[in-house]
Amino acid sequence: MTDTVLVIDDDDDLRELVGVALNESGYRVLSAPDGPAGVAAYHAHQPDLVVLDIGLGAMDGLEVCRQLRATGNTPIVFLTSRAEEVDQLVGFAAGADDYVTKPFSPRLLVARVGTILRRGSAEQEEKTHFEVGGLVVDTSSRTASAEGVELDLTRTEFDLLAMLIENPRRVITRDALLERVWGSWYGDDHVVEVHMSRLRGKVKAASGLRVGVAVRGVGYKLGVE
Amino acid sequence: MSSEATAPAESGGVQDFILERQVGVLERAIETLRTCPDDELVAQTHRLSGTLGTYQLTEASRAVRDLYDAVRAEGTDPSDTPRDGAIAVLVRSLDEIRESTGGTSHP
Repeated sequence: MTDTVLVIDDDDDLRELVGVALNESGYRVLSAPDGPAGVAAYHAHQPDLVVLDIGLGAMDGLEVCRQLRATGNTPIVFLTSRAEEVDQLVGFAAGADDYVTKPFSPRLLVARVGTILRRGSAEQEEKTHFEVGGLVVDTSSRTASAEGVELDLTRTEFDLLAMLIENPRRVITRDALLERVWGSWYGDDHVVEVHMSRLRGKVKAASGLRVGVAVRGVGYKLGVE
Repeated sequence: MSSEATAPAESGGVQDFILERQVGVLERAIETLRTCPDDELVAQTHRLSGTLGTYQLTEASRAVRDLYDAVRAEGTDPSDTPRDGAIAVLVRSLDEIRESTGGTSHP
């Protein structure tokens, strides 16, 4: 599957160049010219990695990074002209995974992106056991429990729960859930709400835990309470 | 051959794209330096230095970086900082690239 990279940079020349370089290496590229457009594109398309310029306009890259980090753990690579160490520390504190200082070689940037994505997919492939706040899911044995009580879930309910717990800090869009759990779905997307409601009911009945918080107009996040 | 065209090559299409766009990048940078208000000079030189360097326009990037350092120096009034030196370097780079590719010279 082709990885998607979102490039957020207000410099048209750099945004285009980074797009060409990533495209040539086989990535699907989305781009946004400012912070608000970048945040919107992130929620709409759920990219696999974000290349983010720190020196954006009104909403700077650090603020964009904080907003993305509030809802997900997608890797973020900062582009910056600020080579001073203090800026790097601020960038990493805001949640950046890597840092490329301008001027830069597009080949180097593409190599960094590739390394981060390979590392991420290797971690994802190896990990089959997930625990968040009393909820335990093992995707290899397809078992789940809440506060120690085993959950009797249908295939669909289990797949929904697995996708949420694999991305515990991320809002998963309805489209992403439909694609992962149902494959190509051409029917009513309220099917997600119906199965999510059943899943919530089973988890609550077994343990009192609440899972599957709806994020209005977007989708769901795990949100164990 | 332009002195700006000696940076290490990127792979295939990326290098072609860079060479294709260098003239446009320089033209836009010159226009920005000529017209940007004094209170935007720090931000613009900061941005342009990175863009020019990434497009392998090393001398131009360095000249704009020097202007950025001068404007940013404590107590400096941007209106007192001559932009002409940096602009002259960029115009020269542009002329060199145009000559090396058979294009027209900068007015």
